[in-house]
Amino acid sequence: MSTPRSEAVAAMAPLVEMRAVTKRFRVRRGAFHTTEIAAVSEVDLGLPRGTAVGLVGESGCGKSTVARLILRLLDPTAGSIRFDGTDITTLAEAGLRPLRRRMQLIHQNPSAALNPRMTAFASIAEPLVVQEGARGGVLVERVAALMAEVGLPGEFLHRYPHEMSGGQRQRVCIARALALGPSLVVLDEPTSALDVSVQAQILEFLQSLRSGHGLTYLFISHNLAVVRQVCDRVAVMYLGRIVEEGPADAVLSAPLHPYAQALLAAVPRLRQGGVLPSVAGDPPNPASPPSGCAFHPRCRFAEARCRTERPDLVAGGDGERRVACHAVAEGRI
Amino acid sequence: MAPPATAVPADGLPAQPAPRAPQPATGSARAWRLALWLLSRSFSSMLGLALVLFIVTLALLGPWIVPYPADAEGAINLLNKLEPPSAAHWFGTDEVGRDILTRVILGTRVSLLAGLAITLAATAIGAPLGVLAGYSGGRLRETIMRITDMFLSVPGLVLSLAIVAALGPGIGNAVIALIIVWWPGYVRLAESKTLAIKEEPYVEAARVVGASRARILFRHVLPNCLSPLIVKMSMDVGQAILAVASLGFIGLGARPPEPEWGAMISVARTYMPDWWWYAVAPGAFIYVSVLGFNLLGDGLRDILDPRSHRG
Amino acid sequence: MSLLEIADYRLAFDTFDGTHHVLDGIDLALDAGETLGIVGETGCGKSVLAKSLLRLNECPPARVVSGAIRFKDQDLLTLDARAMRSLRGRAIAMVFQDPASFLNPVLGIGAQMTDAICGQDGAQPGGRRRSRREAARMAAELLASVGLPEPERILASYPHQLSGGMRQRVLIAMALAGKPALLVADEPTTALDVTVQAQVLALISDLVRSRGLALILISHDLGVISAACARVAVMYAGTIVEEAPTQALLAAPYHPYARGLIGAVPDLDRPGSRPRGIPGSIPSLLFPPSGCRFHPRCPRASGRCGVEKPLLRGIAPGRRVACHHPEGA
Repeated sequence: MSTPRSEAVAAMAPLVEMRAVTKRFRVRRGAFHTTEIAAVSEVDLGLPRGTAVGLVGESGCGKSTVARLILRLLDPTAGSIRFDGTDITTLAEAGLRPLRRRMQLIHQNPSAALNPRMTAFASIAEPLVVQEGARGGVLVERVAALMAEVGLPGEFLHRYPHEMSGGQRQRVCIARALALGPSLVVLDEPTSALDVSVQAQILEFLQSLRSGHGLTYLFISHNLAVVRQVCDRVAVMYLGRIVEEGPADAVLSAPLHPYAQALLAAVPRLRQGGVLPSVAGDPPNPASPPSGCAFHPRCRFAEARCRTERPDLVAGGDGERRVACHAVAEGRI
Repeated sequence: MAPPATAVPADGLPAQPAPRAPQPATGSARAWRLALWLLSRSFSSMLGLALVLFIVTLALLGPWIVPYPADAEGAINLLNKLEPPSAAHWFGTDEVGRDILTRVILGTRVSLLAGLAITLAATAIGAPLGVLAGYSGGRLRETIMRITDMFLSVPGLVLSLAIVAALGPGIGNAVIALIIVWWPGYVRLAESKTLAIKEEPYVEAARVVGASRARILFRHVLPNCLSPLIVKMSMDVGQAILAVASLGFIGLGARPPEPEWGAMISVARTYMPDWWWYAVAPGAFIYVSVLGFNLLGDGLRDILDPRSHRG
Repeated sequence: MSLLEIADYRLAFDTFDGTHHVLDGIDLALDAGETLGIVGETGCGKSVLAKSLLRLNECPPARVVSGAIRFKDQDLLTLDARAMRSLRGRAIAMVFQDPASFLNPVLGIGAQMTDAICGQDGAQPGGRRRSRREAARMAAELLASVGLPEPERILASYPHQLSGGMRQRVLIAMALAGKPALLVADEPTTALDVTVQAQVLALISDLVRSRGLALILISHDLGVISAACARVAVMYAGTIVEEAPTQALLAAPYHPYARGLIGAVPDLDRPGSRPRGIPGSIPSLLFPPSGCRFHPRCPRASGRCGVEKPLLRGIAPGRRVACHHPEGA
């Protein structure tokens, strides 16, 4: 039994804490040669309880890898990950199983996230069967309740994924994620495969779920407008590192890091015609990352120091946020 | 802007509840009709289906429809030996005067059962091994796949010859030998399919809810591997029939007087070319059944390919 | 005289379940040098319409029910296959969503580009085939014109050695090889990252301006359309429901669907404004709703909407809407 005091301390500690987490993948180059690619490097990130933290960046920046590290679908190469006070960095699958019910994942593409040969009922029932051995009438009742909660009529119970629309499939995925009453839900681009009119419905629903169940979200998206709508905090990633992290409103209205600025400026706005490329070039290849600050080849503020010395993620700006940029630290931005 | 006058209800009226729109049928009834429709669009698939149904019907009804049931095994009627095809004996008679049509029809059951047994047993052994190898990776995969490679690197018929030679000739041993050389193909197929499926998000979703490895394999991976396995099985039934006949032909499978196609051709060979009809009938039946199962397999491939389900 | 004119174009797909009425009476015109965006959600028929301009829909299952597509006075629907081939790329060129799948992975960029250039010559009646060397020089020029540095190096590389943005630039360069009058771009930036998307959109806008190209840009993203197109047509379930200058439509849409679509887009600069979804879901094109195809989801629908199909009619200068009860009218 925990004392009220330790409970209060636990409530203040973040639900998830990543410390200097690094993930390297081995990649084959030719028949005899393998190299290592760092997908995620020294990431420090906390998910405070009950908040929605956005993770943004372009493809290959490592945001999905961060999600899978938190869920321990991947094993970190270095660093530590704590989930609700438990160090899960090296926990074996058997030790993880009880924690699995508390952390859930919602995929980008609901069509691929549902087994095409399982009905909505079978998909939603799976976590209940696996974790609790539920069966029979109890199982049917609980699945029906979950379907009602995500707004799916009972007639969908025995439909296969190909007999549903994209929005309905995503609701089945959400019901499956909710089945075990999780504390953390990792949403990996949950609406990017959906039409915009459906996206609005799903986002609204996700927000009401979070407040209703007191959930903590890690919300991965490349759509900054969606992140701004849903998230309390946001972390911007570039080539496996967090370059800026802070309150969503502040970061997404007045970003400090030059990459975050470029990202924001590149979003086509509805009510102003034309678009100016905010930054030249492509994101670099993770197999041969640039020296110093990974963004320096594309950065208009880059100086000699940026080419040689990697900036640390340190408090910057109003003190509410962390930025990894020499120019910001030196007051040039 | 004034709306044009029309006979329809005036503007501003509340919308009538729309009559429920007809919906396309869903569920398994539609799936079956769709499958038949897809099959019926291709002449060769329909031909394959017809040939397979023909062979299966003969196998089922054989003993009751043959014109000379007594000729199955022992009957000897030397007066009628080696008669050419006629109204009484459509495919002629053999060296002891038995009706060839009767024997060929009765041979259908032997060949079909042998072909099905080989294919089903090879799948039952190979598919789970392949799924296991593909999903687990590492040392287990290496072990399974290298053993598979060892079997695949020896020509199948040569290996089965050796095995039958060791076990002794006979149809049962021929089937066992062919199962032993047949399963590695299924390991390869199931493994490659599994490698693709294990990257699917729904497999990851199952891991996230804490599903065990066995559950993931048998609930998520194996059912989604089935389509290519079914196609291969259909094609393999024909190939297995051919292999059984080959063993029969060289005297290691079914042995005369058992009415088996390969064994019949083996005997008929000595009567070529003067009594040519003796070899033609069993040869034609082998040809028809192999062709039928191959064409059906091609048709099934089209049906089971999700891309052909559009619309 | 318009460059492109689509009149009452209807296209159906015959499938096992029956006939899907995918395009239902499309009317659209485009002048030389004009930029038109076509926006709509999954299954609205925008890609099918784009492919129709090059007759790329496979027939069957596709079947033209009625209508005409005139390009410079030629009806594309009645052209013979040879004439159509010579038109593809030379008069109308197309860029697709996924640049990776339109490049052959085992052929070098140089080989693919010179093939495309020489292919254009062959399709030209009485045309002279350029030599390989000439074609290679032209390929390098084209690559430079789409803003790719070191064209020689690009020509010598294979598709997998290029980034997504570079591949899309290569495809745009190939599309320009035949000096087309009309560029059809089907979701050209959907597979790209947002910073690269901005670069490619700026490139397309530059090319349109400098070469006097007409552009039809298909997208599900109103922001992309707003960035690159002066005019926009909104499609819903196989029909054009509204057509207008882009900024005018975004400021004050007439059609309830267009309004719903705009209202569903989250606005990065106004986080307080809650995007709203459109209730209901996309109708089946197998049994499309009677009358106006949007009426079952429409907040303004009346009895008339379920019976009488609204025609696309002029409602203000430069603006057309297909609605019995347009907003603000």
